[in-house]
Amino acid sequence: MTQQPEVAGPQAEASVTSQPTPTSAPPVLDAAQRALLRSVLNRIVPARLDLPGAGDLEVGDFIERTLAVSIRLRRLFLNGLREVEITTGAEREFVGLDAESQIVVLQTVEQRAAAFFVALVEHTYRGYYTLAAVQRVVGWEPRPPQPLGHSLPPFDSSLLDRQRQRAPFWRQTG
Amino acid sequence: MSQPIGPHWDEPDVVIVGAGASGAAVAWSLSQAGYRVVCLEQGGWVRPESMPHSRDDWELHRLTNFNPDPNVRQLAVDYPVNDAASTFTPLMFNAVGGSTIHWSAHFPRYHPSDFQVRSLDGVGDDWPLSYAELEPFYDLSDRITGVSGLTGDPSQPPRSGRGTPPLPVGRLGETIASGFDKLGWHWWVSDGAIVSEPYDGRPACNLCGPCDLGCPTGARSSADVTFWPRALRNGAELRTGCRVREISVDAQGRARGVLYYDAAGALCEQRAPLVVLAANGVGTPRLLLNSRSTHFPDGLANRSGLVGKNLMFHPFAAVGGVFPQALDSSSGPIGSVIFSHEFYETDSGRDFVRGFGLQVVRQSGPLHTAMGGFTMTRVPWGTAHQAVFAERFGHMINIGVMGEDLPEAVNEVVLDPELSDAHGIPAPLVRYRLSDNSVRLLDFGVARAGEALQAAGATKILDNTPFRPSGWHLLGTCRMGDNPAKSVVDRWGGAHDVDNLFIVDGSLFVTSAAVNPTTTIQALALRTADYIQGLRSSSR
Repeated sequence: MTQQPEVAGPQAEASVTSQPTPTSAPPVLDAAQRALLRSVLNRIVPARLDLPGAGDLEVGDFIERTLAVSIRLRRLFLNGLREVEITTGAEREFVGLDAESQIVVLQTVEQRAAAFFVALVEHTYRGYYTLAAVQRVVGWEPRPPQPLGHSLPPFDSSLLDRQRQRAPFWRQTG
Repeated sequence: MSQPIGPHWDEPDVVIVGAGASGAAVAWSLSQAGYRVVCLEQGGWVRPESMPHSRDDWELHRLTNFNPDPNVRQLAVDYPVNDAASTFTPLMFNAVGGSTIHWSAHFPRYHPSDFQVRSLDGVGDDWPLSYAELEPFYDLSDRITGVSGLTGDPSQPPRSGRGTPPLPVGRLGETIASGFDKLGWHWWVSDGAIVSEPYDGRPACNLCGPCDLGCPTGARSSADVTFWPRALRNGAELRTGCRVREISVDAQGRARGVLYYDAAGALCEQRAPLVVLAANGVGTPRLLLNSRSTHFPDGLANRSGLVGKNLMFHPFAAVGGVFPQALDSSSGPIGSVIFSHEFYETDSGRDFVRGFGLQVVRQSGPLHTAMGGFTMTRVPWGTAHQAVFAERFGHMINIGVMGEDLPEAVNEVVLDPELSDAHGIPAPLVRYRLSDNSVRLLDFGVARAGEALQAAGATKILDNTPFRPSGWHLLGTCRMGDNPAKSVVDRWGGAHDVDNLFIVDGSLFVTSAAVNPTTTIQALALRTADYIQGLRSSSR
């Protein structure tokens, strides 16, 4: 048996929002916080050859709109971003660090502020993987499931030939 | 009892609480026989256009307002559930169609042995009925519901023809089938409550994938598109937005009707000579425990002390295999592919009794994969992220290991002393822990699932055991039996203590079997409805 995280549906308890992220919302971060979040997001999901990192894809805007409708998450993120600054140290800025140093800082924050960090990662994924540009490069046609659906060849019942040769083995009862 | 402030409605013949799978089946059967039926449902109709399938952000809805966990959704129609002391999260949906709205629609029947586990294996209890007795109602339920599948499975008794052919299994299904074949294990194409061809005015499934978010086409056979349209045509009255608080009783201790809050929030009483509870294995004991009176100080129909006791889910683990080849694993109904019952029955060579099924499950979209997919093993952040995501996306086959749960009095639903819903009705508090037998069963099952995935070519195995958000099946909390001291309802679902009160949802299950229960819930509900009709005939 493996240790279970606190989960609520396919997500950590700390990430929960009861409604999807709105398409518009008032800002909740100042310019410095926004720049910090952008830099952090570029480390959470870094760039690939054909795509910038999550921060440069404006996933921060998505997260900010989420924070605008959840007081709990807003507190968690504001405290978490402050934790990133504290961990970085007063004498330097996270945005100015090289990628390797940024990762070291974030690994420390992941330990010190676990609830924030899991929410940060999961909301980054929410924003990143619902972008059409991302879906396209990972090989997913960026369209909703309906109305087109998908197509698959009909079931080939000859696949069951071997199973059909087996004698009934359900347990007989009196 | 204070006088309700709202209106009294004209008395129908029967009032049903809950419009899910079982309530819908009873409403149809009784209205078909000419009964005047009123059904009270706290949720509403979930219109196809309100489902997320045509929205670009459809995957976000799985995590939020279409999540199966009411504590995540927090919709006005939901009530909170205190599940802090439960291994599994109880999942449910409050709407016309109930939890079949969120249903993956795997639609298997119980095996004959599932009704006799005490006689056969010395555990749990025998049901007061047999598979043969229930079989005609399984057939009736299948016919109204609309199913896909194939007869001839050697792991099951012969059965009536499926309404439509099997759904496609795709590369994913063929790949894992080859693994089962290599090991010499049983597998068969799933019985799905999803029609693969036009059926009863409904279209064939177009394989869009996320059945767990609803089905906007109506191809999936949720109760809102199967039994309810028929029941409404028969004249049944369905009142939505009506939350029942308690069952009222008369001076003789018989059910008089139900007290409920209507959509405007007014407290009303609906009287009826017959009350049928169909509010699921958590909601029904909650209502009974909240229905205290001088006749029933410990809750209605609870002289046995067993209302809320013996809660069963299914011990469940999620196992995923990562394959080098692309598997088209997001196309097709997420939960209805193939299954194996190789390990379904007790084997004295193992260190546990009873058994489990292996159910093959598909992947969903990119967000689902990044969040960890079926096994909820999240793709790591940082430098490894892109590579791990690419390795998994469209390259995974999942197997759900679903074991038989056995009744234990320590697993229970009680009323929470502090938490309540928007109407001030006490919320359910769920206490559940896995038995030692279940732990051993899951360990063995997870190993077998991994073996099958590796035989099929998986290069990596992920698992999540026990899988917390798997409390789809809420069973056993008003168990059925012949002995009033050891059960809440009789063999027909009638309460031992209250002769005009029937229960038809999963709470009357004696044991859980190792298969999804809705098929059996609907068959039992139809059987109870048949019995009720017989009572009226015999009283004339």
